[in-house]
Amino acid sequence: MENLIYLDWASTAVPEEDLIYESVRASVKSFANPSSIHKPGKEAKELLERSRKMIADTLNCKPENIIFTSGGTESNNTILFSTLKKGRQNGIVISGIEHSSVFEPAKTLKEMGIHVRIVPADQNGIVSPEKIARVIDKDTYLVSVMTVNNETGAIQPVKEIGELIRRREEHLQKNIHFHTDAVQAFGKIPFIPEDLGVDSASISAHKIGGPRGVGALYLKKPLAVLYCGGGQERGLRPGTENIQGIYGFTLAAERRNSRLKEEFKRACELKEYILDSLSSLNGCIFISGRDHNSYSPYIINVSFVPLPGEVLVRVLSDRGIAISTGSACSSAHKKKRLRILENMGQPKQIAESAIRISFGPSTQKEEIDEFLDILKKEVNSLQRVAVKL
Amino acid sequence: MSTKRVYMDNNATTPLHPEVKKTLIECFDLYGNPSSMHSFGREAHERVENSRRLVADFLGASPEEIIFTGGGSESNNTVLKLVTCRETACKLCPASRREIVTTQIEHPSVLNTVKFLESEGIPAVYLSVDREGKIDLQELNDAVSENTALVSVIMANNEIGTIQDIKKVAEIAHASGALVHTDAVQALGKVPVNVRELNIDFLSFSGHKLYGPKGIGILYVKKGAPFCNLIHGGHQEFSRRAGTLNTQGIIGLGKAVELAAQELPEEIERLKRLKNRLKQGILERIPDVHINGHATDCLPGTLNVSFMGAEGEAILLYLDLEGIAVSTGSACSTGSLESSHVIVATGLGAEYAHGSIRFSLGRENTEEDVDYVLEKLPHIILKIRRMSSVYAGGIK
Repeated sequence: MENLIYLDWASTAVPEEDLIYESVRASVKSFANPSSIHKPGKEAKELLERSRKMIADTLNCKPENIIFTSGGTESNNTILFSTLKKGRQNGIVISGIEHSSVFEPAKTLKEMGIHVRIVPADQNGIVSPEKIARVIDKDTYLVSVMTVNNETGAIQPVKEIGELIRRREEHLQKNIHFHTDAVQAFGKIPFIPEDLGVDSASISAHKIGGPRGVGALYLKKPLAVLYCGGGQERGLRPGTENIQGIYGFTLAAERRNSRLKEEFKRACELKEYILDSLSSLNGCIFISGRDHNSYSPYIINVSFVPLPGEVLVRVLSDRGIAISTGSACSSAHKKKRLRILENMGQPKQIAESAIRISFGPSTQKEEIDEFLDILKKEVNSLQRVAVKL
Repeated sequence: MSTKRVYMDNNATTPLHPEVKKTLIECFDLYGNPSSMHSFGREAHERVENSRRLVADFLGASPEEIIFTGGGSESNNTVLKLVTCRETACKLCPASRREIVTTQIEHPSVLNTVKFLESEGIPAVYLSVDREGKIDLQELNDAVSENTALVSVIMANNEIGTIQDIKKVAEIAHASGALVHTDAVQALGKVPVNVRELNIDFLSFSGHKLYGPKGIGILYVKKGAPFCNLIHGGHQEFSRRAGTLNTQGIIGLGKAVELAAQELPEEIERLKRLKNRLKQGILERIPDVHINGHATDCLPGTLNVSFMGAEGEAILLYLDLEGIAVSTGSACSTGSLESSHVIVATGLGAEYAHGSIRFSLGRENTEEDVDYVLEKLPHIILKIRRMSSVYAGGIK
């Protein structure tokens, strides 16, 4: 893949090759079923529990708070569908900028008769804690607000939301489950669920250089299961444990978290550099802000009005550069693709022009320079055509 | 402690095929998200679709009938929950059809799901099995009605290896308009499976039982069969299973299936010979044993033996000390002290049922392994029986 520039890390990260190799190697050695009670089974179990401890350490929680799943989507689904408890009046509150793995389950729950309230974000892509608190009522069972938005990088005031939820709990005399989809936060910005006051959080391996098909759920207290089977994961998630995936995830989580501060600083510099370089371009409107406390430095969302984002993505792809218009999970449906930006109240024209540039630890400054050169040339020539039309 | 290690627990999980391992390592470069529009994504997408074709060919299905899931348990749950889904808006399953017909010897991922659905008000029938683990087709015929939504029968049992006549099951179920699912996690690659010939609507399979990676499974959904998602979100897998595709797992599974198609006809015969050697050896050396499972319709590498008056768990632990890994039943059920629900369903007496051991042979096992087990096992059984209060027999 020489000469190709990959700037779609929010969709999936470049795998940490040595770690994935190491995880395959370890899983060949400890290949047995961790539920088996013979020696090979115990060896596999040991690797599984060691992994759980290591992931727990990066989140500053107890190993028993970690449930391994097949990924962020399953983790989010598990929480959302736990609403379906028999004989309970249930309502859920989500933000309007949630990832499809929260938004689509919520839509399904609505069809099933669950009361779903969707709180929009403001034009900057940030959800107001007060607005969330205001819609919580005696029927509310679950509130789900993501930590970092996957399209704009906007960091949500999760801690403040948590505090207001606890106050509402007291007032309403009931428990409310507070969940956060932390898939874009984990390993990229400091993320300690306990500090944020959440009851659960979803994380995923492939967004931090780990393998696909594996993720975890931080769970403060046991919850209803998404599906049934054997007694794995303390009875909360059945299925033979994916040791290779879990161990690869663990190694990636450790590496990312040990270098979190310096990588964060480097990402801030890269982001500022890109923003400075693009700001003078014709029609340039940044949807992601500059403030690193409010926006992930790893994601830039920008529009070159009136150029359709899709056109830019394809033109750049032909030049060997990978970026995206938004979530890969929604790339096939135009209406779904624009959902998040439209929810923020962004004008249709800006939303349709949006592209997402996202990078990671192995992104080189030279690659960024080459990308900026090509992008500027393409934007300028396309803008000239657009003016003529 | 022995340094020799013999792994005879291939029904719990299998070691990676060396070729699959190579494939897993080779596909590092394919890191694009298969759902992305750019060239990185397209390349990963092509490899994923190639895998889907390999799986479809192996099953006699079309590629668009194959959905990749997180494993066999997820596949089973998806099917069981979809036909009984509680979505009031769902038009797929007429409200009159709510019942499930299954068997007493299903894997926990089917059995516990059906039990859960029962607690939600879905009626369920659990078909009995005979001494060899076969269901009674007449009983099935009597159980299905115009109320039956789904018939789910395990193709090959994970503990005793008995293979059911799924084609007949499908005929009977379809005659009353019910849908048919089979959990083929243990069967696929060990017995010929063609979904068109069997005429089934759903089939579950898992990669790690066939020398492939863990955390990846398959769900076959016949074209036109009703479907509701278990996992909602992105539009992956024809909008039937959300979540970024596990590229590595999918490609690894495709490779495992490709290898199985090539190697298995010969491997099945080899496993049968090894199993027979083990069975005959045990019968010659140890008295008061009962061979569980069907004499002929049985997985080629699965041998489940009950030793009268010897606790299965004790046998397992003594064998483990000699470096031999076997199991007492399903790994997914370990930790429970009760006798295996499968062995109990066959009606085997308690004095035998508690002493059941599953030997499941795989591609790495040799005649030497079998002989090593035959050398160690009689002494272990003798030792345990001597301590037993219920066993008064001897050893040959």
